[in-house]
Amino acid sequence: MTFNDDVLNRLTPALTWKPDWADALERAGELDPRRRQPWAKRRLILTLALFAAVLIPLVAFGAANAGWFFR
Amino acid sequence: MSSKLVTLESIESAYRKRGADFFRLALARTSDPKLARNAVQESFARAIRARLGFRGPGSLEAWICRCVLHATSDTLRPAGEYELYEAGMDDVVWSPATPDADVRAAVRRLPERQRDVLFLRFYLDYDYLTIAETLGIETETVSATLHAARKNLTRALEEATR
Repeated sequence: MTFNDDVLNRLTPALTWKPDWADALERAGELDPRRRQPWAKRRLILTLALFAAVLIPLVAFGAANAGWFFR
Repeated sequence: MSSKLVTLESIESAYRKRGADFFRLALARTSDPKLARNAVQESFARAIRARLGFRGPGSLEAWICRCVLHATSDTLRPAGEYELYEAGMDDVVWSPATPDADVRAAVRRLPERQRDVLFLRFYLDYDYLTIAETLGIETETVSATLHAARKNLTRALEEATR
């Protein structure tokens, strides 16, 4: 019997490997703080957008009604 | 020896190019996808942390490979204790077949040096020079060790099929 290296395929069944470089960086303590907290920036943008969504119609409504709330 | 320039990009490149191969190597040594994955991730994390002081010997990849071997050296499990981790392993998809018990038992009976040489040759497709560099042995020793590993494994598999 001659050894066939392919026999080693039977040692590691077919599988897929999904790389996770961010995890390796995080384990090394190298992850960019801006990447580590992506929600912080998004939260700020959402808050500003919410303010704008409320404030702009309110000002427009006030201006259209002779600026009643400025009096 | 002078210091070699190892950048984060070069480590990431090695990770993207060789991560799957290192995972197979670690998996062959541990028979445990979680341990294997952890060993690969930790080995690259170690390389990232130590990149500025890296002085060899040998290539960065060979050094990372040594980290993987070291990280998995104490985790070899006896044949028959194979565990299939499916829950929580979204990134590892197993075929229906589990590793061949006869092959596992035969490989486990090999001396560690023979097993490492065989794995580096097969899973990483390393040439004799790179295997020698990785394991810190002579190139001639690689050739003889690989020959002995194949011979011993063939004999063990023949005995298993009788």
